[in-house]
Amino acid sequence: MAVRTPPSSDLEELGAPERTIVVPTADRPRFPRWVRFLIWAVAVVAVIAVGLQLSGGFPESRTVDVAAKFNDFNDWVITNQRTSPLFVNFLDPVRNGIQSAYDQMVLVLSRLTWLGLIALVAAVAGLVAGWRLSIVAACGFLFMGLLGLWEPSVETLSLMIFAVLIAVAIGIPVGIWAGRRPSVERAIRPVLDAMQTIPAFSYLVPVVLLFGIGVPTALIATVVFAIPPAIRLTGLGVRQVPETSLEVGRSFGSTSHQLLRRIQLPLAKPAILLGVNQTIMMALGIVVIAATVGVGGLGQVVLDGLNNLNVGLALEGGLAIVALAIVLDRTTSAWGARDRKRRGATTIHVYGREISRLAATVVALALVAVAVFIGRQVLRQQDFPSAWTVNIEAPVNAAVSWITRTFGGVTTAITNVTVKYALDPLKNLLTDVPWWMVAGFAALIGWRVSRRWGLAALAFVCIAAVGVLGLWNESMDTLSQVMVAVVVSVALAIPLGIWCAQSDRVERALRPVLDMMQTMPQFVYLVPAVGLFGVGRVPGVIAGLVYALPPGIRLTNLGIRQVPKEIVEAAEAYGANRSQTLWKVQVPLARPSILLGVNQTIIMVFSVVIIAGLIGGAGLGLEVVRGLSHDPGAGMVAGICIMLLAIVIDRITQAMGEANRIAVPPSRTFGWRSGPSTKRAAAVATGVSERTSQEGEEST
Amino acid sequence: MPVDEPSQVAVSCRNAWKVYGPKADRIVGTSDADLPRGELLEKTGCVAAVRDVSFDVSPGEVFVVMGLSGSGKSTLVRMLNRLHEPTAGQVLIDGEDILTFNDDRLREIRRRKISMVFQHFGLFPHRRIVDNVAFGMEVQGIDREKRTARANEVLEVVGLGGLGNAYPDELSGGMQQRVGLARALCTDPEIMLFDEPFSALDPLIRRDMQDEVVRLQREVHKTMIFITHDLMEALKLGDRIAIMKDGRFVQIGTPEEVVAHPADDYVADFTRDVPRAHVLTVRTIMRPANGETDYAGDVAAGSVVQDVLPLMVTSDRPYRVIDGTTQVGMLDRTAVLAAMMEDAG
Repeated sequence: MAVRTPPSSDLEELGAPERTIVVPTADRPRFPRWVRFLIWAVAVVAVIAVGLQLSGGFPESRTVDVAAKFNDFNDWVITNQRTSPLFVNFLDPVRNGIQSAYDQMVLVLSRLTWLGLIALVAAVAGLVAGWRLSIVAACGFLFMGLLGLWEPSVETLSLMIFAVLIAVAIGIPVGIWAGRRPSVERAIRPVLDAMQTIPAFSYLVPVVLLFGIGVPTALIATVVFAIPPAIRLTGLGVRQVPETSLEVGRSFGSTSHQLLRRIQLPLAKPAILLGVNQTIMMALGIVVIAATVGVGGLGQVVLDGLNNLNVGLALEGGLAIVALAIVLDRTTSAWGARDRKRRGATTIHVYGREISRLAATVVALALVAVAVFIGRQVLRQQDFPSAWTVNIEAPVNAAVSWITRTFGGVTTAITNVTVKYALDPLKNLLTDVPWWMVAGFAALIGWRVSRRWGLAALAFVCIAAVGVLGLWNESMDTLSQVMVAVVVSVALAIPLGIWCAQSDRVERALRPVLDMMQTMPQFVYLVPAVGLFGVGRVPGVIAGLVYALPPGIRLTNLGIRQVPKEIVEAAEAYGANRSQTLWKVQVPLARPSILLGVNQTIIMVFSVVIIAGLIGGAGLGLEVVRGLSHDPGAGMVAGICIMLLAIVIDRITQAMGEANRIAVPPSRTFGWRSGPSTKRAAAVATGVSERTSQEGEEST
Repeated sequence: MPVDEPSQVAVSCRNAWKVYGPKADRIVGTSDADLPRGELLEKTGCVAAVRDVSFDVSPGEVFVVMGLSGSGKSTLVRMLNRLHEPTAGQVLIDGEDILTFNDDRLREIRRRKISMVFQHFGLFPHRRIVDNVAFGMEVQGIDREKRTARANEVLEVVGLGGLGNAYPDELSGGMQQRVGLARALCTDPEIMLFDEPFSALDPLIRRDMQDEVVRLQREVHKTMIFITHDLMEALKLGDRIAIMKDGRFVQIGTPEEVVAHPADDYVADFTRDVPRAHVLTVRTIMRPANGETDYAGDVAAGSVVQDVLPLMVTSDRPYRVIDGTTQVGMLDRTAVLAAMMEDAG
């Protein structure tokens, strides 16, 4: 407690030298830019031409059959799970515990009856987030009932609650620990980075290997996937408590515990609640994908629909998921926003708020009890009455077949063009040149963006490893899909983002759409894509590029809007017109933000392209699907390949962003009294979806 | 006013050093320690924020440390309650070296003896004003009813009665610093540390707050150690002033001593624009009495020249200067005019 390093501002004040700013010395341009570009282009084409003459792909003789080892392990698991102490004493109790806790939760929620559960959800939403949200919540759950999906909804909700409780119970303490100890933070940051980069889908396979198919696997994978934002944002919130606040605490003789309880945690609360919100949304994303390991629920409805090409059924499931997502997201973000306002009845008297809160709780609980009583004793219905359900399956399917008949030519044309002129040539190119050329190219890009050999080596090794693992062609297939989707997505997102930044009206109009898009789990995006484009690679690519649009648009818009007003005014004062200001000042200054958008786009596209394995998208995703159903070894290997590609892609795009980062004064606070830009920057910097942080801001 | 008997010293700082950087503790006592800052940094990678500072503050005294930014004054004040750990030296409070205290004793001293007012107020945005003020007592474990009552009492003292239920961001800057002041007063400490408390305020509000401190000092008689970069503020508030430069004290003295007898060019440069008449006392400019009986009246030796001006206008005869009841000298109109000419020139 006594020894501290001085805050850096002190050191600066004391005349310590300013941190040396390394300005990358650009090579003096010997040729005009377009000539240099031409030279590069010719060089690349020449290299590729040479590469095409060599034997392409990855030599089979050098591959290692890792899948067999995993399958051996799987066999060992199957033969030993009744006898080995690892299973009998550890894994089985864990699995059984999770299973029975989950069963209990489903049972309890079901026994509340549909009326009781809606009342309970509305009451909870109302108590934490205000009465408006209780109406939203009630409507959302009513909607799920009306769709005839009450039972799967309850299952999904149970799994969600369970997973989020565990993720938060682990994540917040770890986050606090990391927030108070920089060494801990440094140690876990790369782990969290990797966890957030790897597509959700590949989390399932290793857990399946140990726990088999079922709820425990889904739960563990969900917790692992959803925990990073809880840790990150808690840590961030604790770290961003202003130094002065801590000094005040210490100067009055606070103990370390008092500092935490009375200063750090209250000040970090908005960030922590944002973390909980993010954790919930990420958990929902994977809980529905977890249908592939047989947990039932809403994901299963969508999956059945997709598997049987029953778009109506898939859409029902998708809509229910969206309803659940909206209820959960709005409730938790309104909770955070209300907390930031922190005005109850503070102007009345000291205990005013507690009393009113207590009264509200009592009334709400009484209403829930009445609802449960009516449901159990009067209506005697556990499930939503089937007489009330609305069947949208048939009309949707009719509509889909009408669309297919009418616009079939258009969608087929799009599909064919995409396959013929983009996906196939790119995939063939990647598989026809020797593997080392692909890996070398990745290394070159890695070096070019970071000027560090480490990144180049990492890129080369990871790409080579994919070949060694024997999934070269599948990986290149996936890569080609990702590339096509990213190019289109970025080409759409950047102009849209610039447009948003130029016009408040466009921004206002687009915001709810983007909010909605970011609330929906990636899985749901596959449904309309399949409806329009059938199965195959193209719907996956399209779902991916649409899913990835919001961060691209948002970060472009944000980057431009964050350019300090004085700088824009300076440009205008010299007579720059609007487009000069935009292209010479705003866009260059927004570049780090835009590149961050590209980074996010790539990662999001990647995760959808992987899931698209479920709808016949070829490549690594399909291998994972296969692995989950009957060949865990192959699935495991595909999962590792996905991880390797994800790491390469993420590292390279991040380095791109970092090389362009311009020194921005560090943001000190989060949530309380911080300017809009610092809060957004903080949120964006931690990879939080920007939407939620903006929402928080509007309400402050 | 400064008294040297140990029992009469509230805070004493002895050869205190604060060096930041690698192996900072090895610098003190070597020849490196006397290097100018830039050279020291070049040679060792260390920054000496506070260098060999010693001073005593008597109970009830207002001791002002004045220096420009980077002079080490904020570091110095934080060493007095060990928010920053001194690299070397002693900090004695009531004759005990707090650097030898363990965490528990240190906390005890922070809870009961010393409180601090911060430059940017340091109010907790998530707490109501009354809970901000009561924070110190809350940390001590005093129950809510008692501490709220006390906090409201102190809020009355600083002129914020009835605002206890507001939140900090609803108050103006000046009012926020009154809260900061109330918070520091609430635990009834013997020693109050002020780290540039008013530098973030508008000039008019700043003057109000300075008057407030003067008034409080008269009422509560705390030992105050006050950091500022504003010489006028230092002259107005300080019983004694220390001028700090590059981590060292250049001069310690009463406002009058500093203005009348600057220790070096640096201090002289600082005090050049200070109106002499506001600072110099009659004692400084009087001449010895030579038994004359023709005088216009009496003036007190301790009064400032500015205050005796009206008397000088009413009569051209000299005034008798008295200290208590005894005569100590004579004051001529020409001496007053000479003092004022210095200002004009």
